[in-house]
Amino acid sequence: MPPPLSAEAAPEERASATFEFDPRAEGIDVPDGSTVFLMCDHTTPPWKPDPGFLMRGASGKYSLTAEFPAGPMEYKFFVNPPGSHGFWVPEGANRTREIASTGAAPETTGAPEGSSAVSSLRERIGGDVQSIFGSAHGLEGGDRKKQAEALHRGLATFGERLRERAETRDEEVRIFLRNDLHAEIDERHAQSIHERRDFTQETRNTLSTPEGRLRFRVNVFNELCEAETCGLKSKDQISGRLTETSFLQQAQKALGRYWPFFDRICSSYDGGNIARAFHGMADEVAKTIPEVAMEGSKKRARERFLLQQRMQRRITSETKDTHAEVMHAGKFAKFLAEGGDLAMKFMVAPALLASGHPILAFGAWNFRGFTEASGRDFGNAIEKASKVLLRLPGRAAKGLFKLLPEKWTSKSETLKSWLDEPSSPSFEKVGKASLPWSVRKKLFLRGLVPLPAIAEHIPYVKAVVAERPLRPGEAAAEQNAAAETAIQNACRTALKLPAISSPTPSVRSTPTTPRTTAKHVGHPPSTSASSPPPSAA
Amino acid sequence: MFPSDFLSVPQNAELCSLVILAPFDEGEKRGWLELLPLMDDQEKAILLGNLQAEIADFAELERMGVAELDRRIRELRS
Repeated sequence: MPPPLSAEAAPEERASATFEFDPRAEGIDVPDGSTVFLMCDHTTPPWKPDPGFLMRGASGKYSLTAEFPAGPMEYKFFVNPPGSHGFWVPEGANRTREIASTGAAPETTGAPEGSSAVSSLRERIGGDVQSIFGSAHGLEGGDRKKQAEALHRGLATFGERLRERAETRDEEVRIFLRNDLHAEIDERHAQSIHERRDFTQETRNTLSTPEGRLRFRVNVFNELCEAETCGLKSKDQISGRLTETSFLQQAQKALGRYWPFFDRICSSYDGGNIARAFHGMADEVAKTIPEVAMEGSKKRARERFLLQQRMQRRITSETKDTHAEVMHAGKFAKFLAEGGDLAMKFMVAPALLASGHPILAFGAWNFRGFTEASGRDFGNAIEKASKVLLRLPGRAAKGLFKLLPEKWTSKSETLKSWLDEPSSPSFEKVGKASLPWSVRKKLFLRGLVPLPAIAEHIPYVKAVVAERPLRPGEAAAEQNAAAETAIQNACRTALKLPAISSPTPSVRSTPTTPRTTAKHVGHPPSTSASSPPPSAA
Repeated sequence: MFPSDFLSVPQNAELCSLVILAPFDEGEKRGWLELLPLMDDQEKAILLGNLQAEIADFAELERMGVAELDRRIRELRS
């Protein structure tokens, strides 16, 4: 006995309405080939008929015209880009709209021009929701089977992902922890900014977010470019979107020897250098959390994988028999009848990503069982399959390959080269690697690898390090003082604070001498006196 | 995404919010949310226990991480 499918009782008013989604007008980038769904809070889709998705018009707008129950309706658009793992919502909040009731019977309102897809669908299914979701007489085996297959593919893909994740769970947890620590530091930083009484409220608001601080520094930099000081030209101005690291690189390159001034003075306003040091510390702390603390997490990830496998087995057995009555009586049918196929649409997308080769659809365990039992030699199939699998993102393919029997991996040359691929060297290893001195010198000069202390005393190294274009002299000291004033004034203009009349003398030696610069490569936590100490919560 | 009466059952609502709260990445979160309507009671109970333990464990890790960070900052200051 099927559960009641349509919640709409006969007397409820319906009206024809068109939902439009214009990505260009909303400033959202929807890739070609995406599917856009309409989602709302009803047990079954309340619209008749239900193509399920919005059709794309010539102008790039997506629209859906159907009949809806009259009254206010809360809805959302879900976009499913092609080849993606899932879907995303263009705008977080729910949208609402009022469906104006025309008071006319639904069949007489008709569909507006241009919705031929909707009208053909309506013809095909006779405008009856029941025939989509199944009725007491059951649906043709074909549709059900396709739905079941889509479900199985989705489950298999999810299961595979859970299995890989169970292996790399500790890395994932470290990343989450690191992000949390960064957020904690940002919060404390914001707190310290808010406690500064010498700023206006507007300044405090700007400088308490990372984006605001970046904007402040970009504004200061652009002011200096306009004023053409510190060796900058008007054309060096930076515009457009950037990240903190890209701005850092550009500014360092453009300012050259004036970078330390810029950094120190800006930091006296926004605490940037200390924040950078603390963020570096957070990265270290996240790295040094002991492995033993992650064991529980790994165990639970494995539990989740086993749970999903169990679910998969249960659902497969329930939907195995595509005979209409059996399927209809089961939980799957109930789920579909309650509108669950909308959820299934989102599982088809990840399945389609992995599709293209039948081996992948079965899931790794089934594959092994099937081929070993049949005793056939799938050497050639492996070669072919490996070419397909090489297109998958690295971890997925490697995970699958690990489950293949030894005798086949040894046969395939492609597989062997894939499995033996070395990981890229990290920079910590560069110092210890047997690189020619010329290459290491380049890396040291770029500041990417810290120079070992003893190397500074080697005459050749001293000479190399002295090549850096930093030579403080008398003329330079005057230029430095002028630069400092310019930067201070630029900062105060950017923050709309009154300018300082007399130039601020630099209170301590700047880290521009070759030896100290060599020590301060990477993240220099400069402890300049002018920056305010952030409050430790 | 769910049938509307799915979230009116308190256990389902709790499970849904725990999945969203848990330290998983987007793909895994979406996958579990999609599977929630398909799960039976026993599976839901297992998942609930798993999520609660995971969240508690991660909160403990966070606490440890923040304490360590504080310690290092104090060291730097002194």
